[in-house]
Amino acid sequence: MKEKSPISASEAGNALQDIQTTQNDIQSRAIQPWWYYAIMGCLVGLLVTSSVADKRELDTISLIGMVLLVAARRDSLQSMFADITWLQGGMVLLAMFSSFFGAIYLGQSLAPAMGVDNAAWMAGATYALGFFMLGLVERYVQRRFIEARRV
Amino acid sequence: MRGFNELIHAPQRLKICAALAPMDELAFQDIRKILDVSDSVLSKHLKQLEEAGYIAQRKASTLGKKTTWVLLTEEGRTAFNDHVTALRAIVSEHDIQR
Repeated sequence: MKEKSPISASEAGNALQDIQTTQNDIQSRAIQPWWYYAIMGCLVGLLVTSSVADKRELDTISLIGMVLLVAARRDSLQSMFADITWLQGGMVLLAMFSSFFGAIYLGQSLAPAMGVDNAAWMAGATYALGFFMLGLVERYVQRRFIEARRV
Repeated sequence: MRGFNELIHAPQRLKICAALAPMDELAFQDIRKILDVSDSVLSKHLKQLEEAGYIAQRKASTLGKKTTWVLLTEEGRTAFNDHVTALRAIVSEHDIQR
């Protein structure tokens, strides 16, 4: 004997639609869009350029840009950063600072051969490109993780 | 119908399970933002799911800030997947009859 459905087909369809909408929402909040990494990389790259070539006006542009970018993504989930201890947070900060100062050191090392301005822009661009590439890798990993678990 | 779960099917609880399914865990505040409900309403639904053994909650400190994390248990994941399968069966059964 055929079992009677506890709900109508349209109600079941709506419930499935709700599940899809919620999971799309989760995915868009959990994973930063590609342009986030591109813009953030360029903004931090400007700080590198500013530090090497002593162009302080770039600092202001960069910091305002970062505030606007973070505000644009304020709905991002904090869950991707679950359980970060002070030690892990400190190591992430250390990695960020060392790559930042590494790029500045690169610019300063290249300055005698290339000229200060060229070296500064090159160091900034190198940092931006590296940040963007790492961001894309992070984005890919997060996306694979979430899509594997979606219903 | 096999797999259909009355407890999970309630709209807000369905969304909670749908949100938790792709993640290891979600912060209470993130779930509240996604559902757009008050703390008390969310707490009530979480309590019902927790009593059924479908979710677990734990309090932890993230960089010194206290956060309540919510996760779908294995039992909850199975119940949610079975419920989704039942919903799909209802829809496809209807499509076949048409």
